[in-house]
Amino acid sequence: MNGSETICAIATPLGTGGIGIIRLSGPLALSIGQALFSSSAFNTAPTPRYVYYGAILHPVTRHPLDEGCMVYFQGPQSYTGEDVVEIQGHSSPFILKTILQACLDSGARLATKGEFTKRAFIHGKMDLTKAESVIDLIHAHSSQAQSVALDHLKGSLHGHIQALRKSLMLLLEHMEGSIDFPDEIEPLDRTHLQEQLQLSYDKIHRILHLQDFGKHIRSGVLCVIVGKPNVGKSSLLNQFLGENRAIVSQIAGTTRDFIEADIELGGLTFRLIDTAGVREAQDTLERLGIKKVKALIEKADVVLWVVDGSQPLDATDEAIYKKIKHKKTYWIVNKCDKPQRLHPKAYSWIKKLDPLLLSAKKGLALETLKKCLYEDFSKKTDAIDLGLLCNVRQSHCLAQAHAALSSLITSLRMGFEDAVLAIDLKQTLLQLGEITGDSVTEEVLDGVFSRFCVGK
Amino acid sequence: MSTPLYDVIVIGSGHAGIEAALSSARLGCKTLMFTINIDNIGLMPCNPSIGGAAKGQIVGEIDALGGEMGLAADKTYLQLKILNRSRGPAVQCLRSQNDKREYGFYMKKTVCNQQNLDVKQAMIHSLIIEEGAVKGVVTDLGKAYMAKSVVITTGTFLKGRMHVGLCSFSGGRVGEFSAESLSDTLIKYFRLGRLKTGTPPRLDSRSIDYSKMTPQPGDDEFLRFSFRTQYNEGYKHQISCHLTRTTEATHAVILNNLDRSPMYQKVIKGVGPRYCPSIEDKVVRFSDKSSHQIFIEPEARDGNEMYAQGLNTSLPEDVQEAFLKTMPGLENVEVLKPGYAVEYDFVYPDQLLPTLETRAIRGLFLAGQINGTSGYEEAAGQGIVAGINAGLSAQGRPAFVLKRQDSYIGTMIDDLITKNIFEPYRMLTSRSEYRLLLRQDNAIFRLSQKAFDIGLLSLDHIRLVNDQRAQVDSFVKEWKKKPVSASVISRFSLNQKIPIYDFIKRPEATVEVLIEEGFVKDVDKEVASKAAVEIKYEGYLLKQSQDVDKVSRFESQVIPDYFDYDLVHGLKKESREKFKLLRPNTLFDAKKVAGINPADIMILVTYLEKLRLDRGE
Repeated sequence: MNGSETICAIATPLGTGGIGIIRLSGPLALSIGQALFSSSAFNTAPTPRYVYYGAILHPVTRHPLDEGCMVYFQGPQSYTGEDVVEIQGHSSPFILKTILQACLDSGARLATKGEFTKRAFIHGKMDLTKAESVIDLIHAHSSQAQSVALDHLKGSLHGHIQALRKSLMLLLEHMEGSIDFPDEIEPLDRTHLQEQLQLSYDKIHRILHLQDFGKHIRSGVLCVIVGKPNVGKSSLLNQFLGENRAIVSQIAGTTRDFIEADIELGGLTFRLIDTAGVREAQDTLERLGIKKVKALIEKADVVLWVVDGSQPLDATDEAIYKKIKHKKTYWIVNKCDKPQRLHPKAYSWIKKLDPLLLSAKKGLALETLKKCLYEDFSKKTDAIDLGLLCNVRQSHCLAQAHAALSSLITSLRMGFEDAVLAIDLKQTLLQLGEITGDSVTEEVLDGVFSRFCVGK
Repeated sequence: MSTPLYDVIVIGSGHAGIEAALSSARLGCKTLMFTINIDNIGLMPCNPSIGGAAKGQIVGEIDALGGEMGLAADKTYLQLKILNRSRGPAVQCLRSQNDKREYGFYMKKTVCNQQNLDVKQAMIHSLIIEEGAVKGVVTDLGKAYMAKSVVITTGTFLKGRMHVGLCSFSGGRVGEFSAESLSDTLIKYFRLGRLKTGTPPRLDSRSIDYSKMTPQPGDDEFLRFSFRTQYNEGYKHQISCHLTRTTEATHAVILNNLDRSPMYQKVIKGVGPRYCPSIEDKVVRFSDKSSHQIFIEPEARDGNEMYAQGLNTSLPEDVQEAFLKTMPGLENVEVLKPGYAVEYDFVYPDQLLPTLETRAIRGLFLAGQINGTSGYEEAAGQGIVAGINAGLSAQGRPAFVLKRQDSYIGTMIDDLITKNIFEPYRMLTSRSEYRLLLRQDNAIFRLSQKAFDIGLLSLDHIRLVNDQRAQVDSFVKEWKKKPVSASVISRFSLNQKIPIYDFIKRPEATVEVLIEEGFVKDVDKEVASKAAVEIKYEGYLLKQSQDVDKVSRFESQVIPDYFDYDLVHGLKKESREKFKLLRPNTLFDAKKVAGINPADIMILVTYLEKLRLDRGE
C-alpha cells in the first residue's frame, strides 16, 4: 500500500438502485476522470464539488460506455483527504464493471476492503469510532446492521462513551489533584465516589449486555440444523429458502459439506447451516465433517434439532440430544404429515423442550418456526438503542473498562487508598478512550488546573 | 593560551549544576564548574523547601544514584514531614523546609572539597564548537577552557528579565547579572522559547502576629531523604510554619490594581506555570473563591526572613504591601523583599536525546530550567543524568538512560524530549503511569545497583542497600510463617489465627499497629514499612510490573535493516525522512526521534505486524 497510488472501486451495491457510483482517490484521480469524460468544462478546469454532465468514454477507443455525471473533490476537502473523483453512471453491473476496468487500464488499482476509510482516518478526516462505523456499514448484512453503522457515523456510541468518560474524568481529576496538591485540594468524598462509580458501572454493564444482540445484528443469528441422517434437515432448509438449494436425497450422508443460507426476518439476518447427519460414521471424510458439526454447535445461537415424527426416538437421537442440551434448542418434529409414532412426553431425558410439529416437505407449520425465531431474536433487537452497539474491538475495550471498574469498586470497599484506586480509574478511562481515540494524562492535568485553584 | 584539557565543564552552580559536576567528578572525570558567584552555589532563590508530591520521589532517586540533594536536605532542615499519609504509599513523600543559608553552605563545602572538581567564578561568553562537536568554552574575559563534554545549567539566567510592577530590568535573579551572550550562541543551533516564573515577597518575622495564624508543625519522628543519613535527633528541633489566608479585602486591592500588573498589561510575554499561578491570577481566574490559603515559612533558623507561600506576584511594591496588610496576622507587616516575576529563554527540550545531550552539538548537554522545567528537584534530577552522561561520553563509555518505567527522572526526561512544552514543566505523580512502582521508599532498590555498576556509589553504600533489601525480604518471609497473636485476634475480631502476612493485607493493619503489637521494633520501622507496602499492594504491584514488561517488550521490537519506510503509507513526510536518515534499531529508538508523534509509531507498529504476517512469522 503506497500513498502515491490511486485507488478505485464501485462505491454502490451492485444490482440495486438506479445510480451506480465509481470512486477514485489519489493523485491520478482527476486525470483518470478527465480521460474518461466528454465534458470540456470538466476536462479543462473543474470547480471542486460541482456536478458535470457528459458521456463516459473509453479512454483509448473514445467509445461511449455510459452517460452520467462527474464530481471532483479536491484534497484535503474530500472523503479520504486526497483528490477524489466520483463517476455516477447507471447501475447496471455490466456498465459499472466496464467503467471500473477503464479506470484500472488508466493507472488506478482496485481498492482493498475499507481502504477509502483507512485513508480518511490516516489523513485525519475522522475519528476511530467513525472510521470503524463506515467499515461496518460496508460490511453490513441487513437493514438493522446498516442502521447501527449509520448511528455510529452520527456519533451515538461516541456520545455515550464521552458522557461516561466525562463523569469518570471528573473523579480522576479530583483524585489526582488532591494527591499532587495535598495542601490545597481536599480528598474526594468516598461515599460520593462509590455512588458515581456504581452509576458508571451500571451504564457500562448495560451497553456490554447489549453486545450479544449487537453480534446478531452485525454477523447474523447462527442457526445450526442437526439431526440423524434422513430426518429432513435439508428439506427444512429448502423450505426456508423456497428453492432447492441443498440436495435432498434418500441416501444417508448425502449432505457432506455444510449448506449455508441467509434469510432475513424482521430486519435480522439468520444464517442457517445444514449439517451432515450426525451419526457414527465409518468414512473418514464424514468423520471430519462430524467434528466440524460439534464445533458449529458450540458457536450456534440456536440449534434446530430435527427428528422424524414417523419413528420413535432411538439411541442416536438421545446421543445427539446430549450434545446439544446445553444450547438454546428448538425441537422440530418433522414429517407430521405421516402417521406419528413419536410421543413427545414419553422421553424423560428431554428436559424443558416443547416439540414444534411440522412438515418440511409440505411446508406445514413453517410459519410457526419463523415466528419463534422472530420472537426470540428480531423482536428483542427492536427495543434496544442501536447506537450503543459496538464492533469487536470496541466491545473488547468496553469489557476491559468494565473489568477495571469492577476491580476499582472492590478495592474501594476494601479500603484501598486514592493512589491505588486511581490505577483502576485510569485504566477504565484508558479503555474508554481507546474507543473514542482520546488519551488520558494531559486531559487530567488540564482538568485539574482549570477546576482547582492550585499553586503556591 | 593553553589551559588543561578537562573531561567535563559544567556551566552553572545551581541544583542541576551541582549534581552534574559532582556525578562527573565522582565518575573520575576531571571536571570544572563555572559559577557567576561562588557564594551563591546551591542557592534556593524561591521557596527553601525540598521534596513534596513527586518531587520527594525524585530526591529519593537522585539519592539512590549517589547524588547530594537528599543528604543536604537531611542536614539542613528546619522542618520535615510526610505528605499524603492517607493516600497510599506510592504517593507518600517527604517535604522539608530548609535553612537557605545552611543548605547553600553545605553544597558549597561539598563542591569545593570534591576530588577531581575545580570551581571557578566567571561568566561564560560563548561555546567553542568545531565540526558539530563542542570543544570548550570562553569566559567574558576572553579566556578559553577546553573540554570533551560541556553541561549547561544556567537556570533563569539566559536573557533573564525581572518584573516588579511595570518596572523591569535585566537579571537572572534579584541582585544578579543575566547571561546575555550565551543565549546568542545557543540561538544559532537551537529553537529557543520564553517562559516566566515568579516568587512571592519576603516578610520580616518581627512584624508578624503569629497568634492569629494556625501553626503547621513538622512530624515528630526521625525521617530521612537519604539512605546514607544516620539516625539523629534533629527532628526534636523543628520550627513551625504558619497558615493564614487572603480575605475579600485582599482580593479587592488586587483587582483594583490589575492595570499596574505586567502580566495583565501584557508586558510579560513568557508563559507562566498553571500549577504555580500568581495571586493576581488566582483571584481573577477563581473569582468564586473568597479566600486562598497562605503559608508563612521560615527561610533560616537564625533570621527574620519569612517566605509567603501562595503569594507569588509581579504587582508593584506598594500594592504588595497593601494587600499583605489585609490578611490575619499581617496587619503591620514589613516587606523585606518584594515579589517579582522573571522571564527567561529556554531551549525547547525536544532537541535533546534521552541522555540530555543535544541532537545538534555532540558533547553538549543541557539540564535544569534551561530545558523548560521548574523546581529544584526537577533541575537536580536532570543535572545528575546530564553529568553522568557527559562524564561517560568523555570516557568513551556507553550512555546511561533512565526510562519511564524505571523512575520519575526517566518519566520527566521522556516527557521533555517527546512532548510539547508550553509552560514550565513540573513533575507530578499523575504524569507517571507506573506510580505504584516508582515509590520514594524503593528508589534505592530500583536504581542503586545501576549507579554502583558505573562507579557512582561506593561498596559501603551498595552494601547498605543490599542489607536493607535482605532485611525487607526476611520480614516478608517471617510474616508468611508466623501467625498473629491472640491480642490481634481479639482487637480486630478475626475469626481465626491467620499469618501476619495475611493480616497485613487488611487496611487497618498499619505499621504503627505492627509496632504496637510487638511484631516490629521501633528502630525497624522504615524497613518494616517497605516490607508491608510490598505485601499490601502485591496484586497491584504485580499488575503494574506486567504493564512494564509489556511496554519493554513493545519497545524492544526490532525494526529490520531492510525495512522500507517508503512503503509505509500515512507517515508524516518529515517523520519518514527522519526515520530514513536515523534508521532506529527498535521501536524505543523510533519513539525517541525528535518530532515523532504516537500516531507515527502506531502506523509503524501496524506495518511491522504486517511484515511479520507476510513473512509467515
